[in-house]
Amino acid sequence: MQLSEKITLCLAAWMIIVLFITSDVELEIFFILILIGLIVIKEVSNQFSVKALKFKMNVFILFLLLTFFVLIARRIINIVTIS
Amino acid sequence: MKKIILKNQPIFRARIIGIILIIIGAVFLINPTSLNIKISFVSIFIGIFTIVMINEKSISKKISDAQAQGNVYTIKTILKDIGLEGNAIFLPKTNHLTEERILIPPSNKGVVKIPKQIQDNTFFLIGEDGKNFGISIPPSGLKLLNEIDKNGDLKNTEIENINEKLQIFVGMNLLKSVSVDKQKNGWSLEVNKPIFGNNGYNIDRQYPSPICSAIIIALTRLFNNKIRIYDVTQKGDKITFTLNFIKQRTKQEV
Repeated sequence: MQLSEKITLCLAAWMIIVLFITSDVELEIFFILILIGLIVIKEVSNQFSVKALKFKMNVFILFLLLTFFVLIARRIINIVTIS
Repeated sequence: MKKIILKNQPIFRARIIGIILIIIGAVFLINPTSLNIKISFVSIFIGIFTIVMINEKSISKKISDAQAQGNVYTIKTILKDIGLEGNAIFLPKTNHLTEERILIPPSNKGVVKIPKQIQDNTFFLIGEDGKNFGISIPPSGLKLLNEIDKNGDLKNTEIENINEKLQIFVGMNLLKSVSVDKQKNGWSLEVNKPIFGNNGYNIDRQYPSPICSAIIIALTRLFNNKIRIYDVTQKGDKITFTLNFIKQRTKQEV
């Protein structure tokens, strides 16, 4: 099994676990847990990965970070509007 | 035939699984409750991740082994025919050499003499007095290492971090494990289960297989020194190369 396949399987397993444990909590926690999982997987596989693989993982991490920031921004705007 | 080959590729299976997951994710978005959004996001994310990450084509191990063996077999035949019996000496880049090379001396007896002016186009090494110093050829693992280490990270690695850097070979499924340790007389390189099979090419002292060769070139780059294969032993799947710097053995260069 190639490293990229192992990484994909690990991330899929982590995301399914996160989906179960955060089924009735807010989206922000769901996203931050997925983000943490992806960063941990990236760090663990870092010394075995070639540059192209690292780059692809960085892109996904950036995408999740951006999504997380958007959700946080929306939450802040909601709080400010209500108050 | 082409379709059958394509279906056996991991990239093909990854694309199918990825597309199915994206469709499932899209279906869950029709009724966007909090849980459905999460299921949809997980499904689409894993789908895209699978398609993007698993995109390397692979070929049968037998085919890749045969390709690599062809090169090594040719060199081994030449060495046998011209009667060279010395162990390989890996030469680092110099002002005259733009790439690392292997020098194979006529024998292991006596003092190993290395001509200073070895160049990229030098093959037979003949001294001024007509004496045979062996041949100089590109190592089998040079292209492999250049592909793995495109940015030259290995050259700039600290010696204490070399074991960590070499794990990239494990990550590429080229072998099961690799470690380098300092010994009394030099360095010991331990390679576990390289994908070249136990066919004798891995334990070659004159022209090692591409994977073992690539690792030794990496060490040559790191130490910027001539490295000689002193001994090779094999226990089960574990192959141990005993390496030493040629300056420890050479009394004078010609």
